Amino acid sequence: MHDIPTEAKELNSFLEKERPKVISYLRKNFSVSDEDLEDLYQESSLALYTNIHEGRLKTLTGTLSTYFLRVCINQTLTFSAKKKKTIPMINESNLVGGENFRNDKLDELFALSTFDETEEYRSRTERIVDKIVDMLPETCRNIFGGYYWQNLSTKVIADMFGYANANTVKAQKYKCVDKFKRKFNELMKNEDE
Amino acid sequence: MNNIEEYDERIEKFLRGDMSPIEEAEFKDDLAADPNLQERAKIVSTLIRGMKRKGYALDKAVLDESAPKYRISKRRVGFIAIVTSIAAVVLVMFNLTVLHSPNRNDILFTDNYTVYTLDSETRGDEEPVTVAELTELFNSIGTTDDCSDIIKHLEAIYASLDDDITYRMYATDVAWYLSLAYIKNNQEEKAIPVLQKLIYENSDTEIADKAQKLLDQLK
Repeated sequence: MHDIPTEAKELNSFLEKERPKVISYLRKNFSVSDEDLEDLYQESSLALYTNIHEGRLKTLTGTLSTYFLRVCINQTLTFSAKKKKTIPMINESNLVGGENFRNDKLDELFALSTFDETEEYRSRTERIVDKIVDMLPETCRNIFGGYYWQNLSTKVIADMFGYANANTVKAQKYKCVDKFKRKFNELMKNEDE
Repeated sequence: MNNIEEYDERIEKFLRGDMSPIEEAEFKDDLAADPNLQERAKIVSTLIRGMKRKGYALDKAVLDESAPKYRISKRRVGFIAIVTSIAAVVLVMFNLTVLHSPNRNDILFTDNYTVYTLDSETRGDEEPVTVAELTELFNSIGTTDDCSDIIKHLEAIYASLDDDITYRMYATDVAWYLSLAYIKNNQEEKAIPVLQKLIYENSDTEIADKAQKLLDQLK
């Protein structure tokens, strides 16, 4: 198997989306040339396709993006070790923001903080959230995706998207949540009227 | 730190399951009493649920598209249906509580296993540790159904930790992944002493907390 088939549209689209942020992260953390990074990205992409195609991701824990990031990091670590390059301190605890956001806790908090627990209300909020996330600026979508979905640390998100540091990401995250909140309340009100 | 930052920190700590029972009780009391905290919690929990929902859907689309496809001829469908029906009846009649349930270990493994990214320091020419060797071993646990060979290899490394410095820097990782391999292979009784030693030797660390949670679930 030498290439990812062009028919694998979802995967190819996924890899195109991941490319800039993964390469940005690797460039920030490894002493590897851009040319080598591109090659490593290609090899990692193929490894991902092979693993999916051979049924090895049946027990995927976490998100596909985070899994793929780890594949890219491992490939780059191995490459760096072979070339006797400086190997950075990368471990699970500085890659992720902490334990995953638990689904049971999310349900519990949602129930505690709203007064309407009907299925209808839940569907309504889901519909509105889907709409808002697509409307948000790319900066907010990137941060929300990285922090809340992939559970990446703010440092990793800073490296991926070119922010100055982790605190800048945090500050941007607060602003984005405020944007989300304003839009959410506006759309909920519109639906009520 | 302003109010909103404090709110978000507490909300996220709650959602990650990182609060102690006392902290959680206080948080819930504050939530009931503070409409601003309530509002923020509603927004954040709604947002995270939405991100996870969209994320799952996108990941599923990618995985489903490229997953192995199995085609069964129409003639075989009937035969397979008969065989699986008989097998299902046999299983229902057999008392499964007598047997060790395979599902618990699968769940424990899936909840705790992550693909390994090795942290390491700058190496010189004398450094004998093969980064690739340990990474390959640990990550094979996630992709191999029968981990017996991997366990043999890890047991040899684990046994050498006290006398040989080769893998000592990665002692906690070796212990952790050996425990997971035992659990995956339904040898959880062997995982227990490994986890106990890991906790004892790394008290008050994140890995000790993780190991303690897993140990509590095993017992």
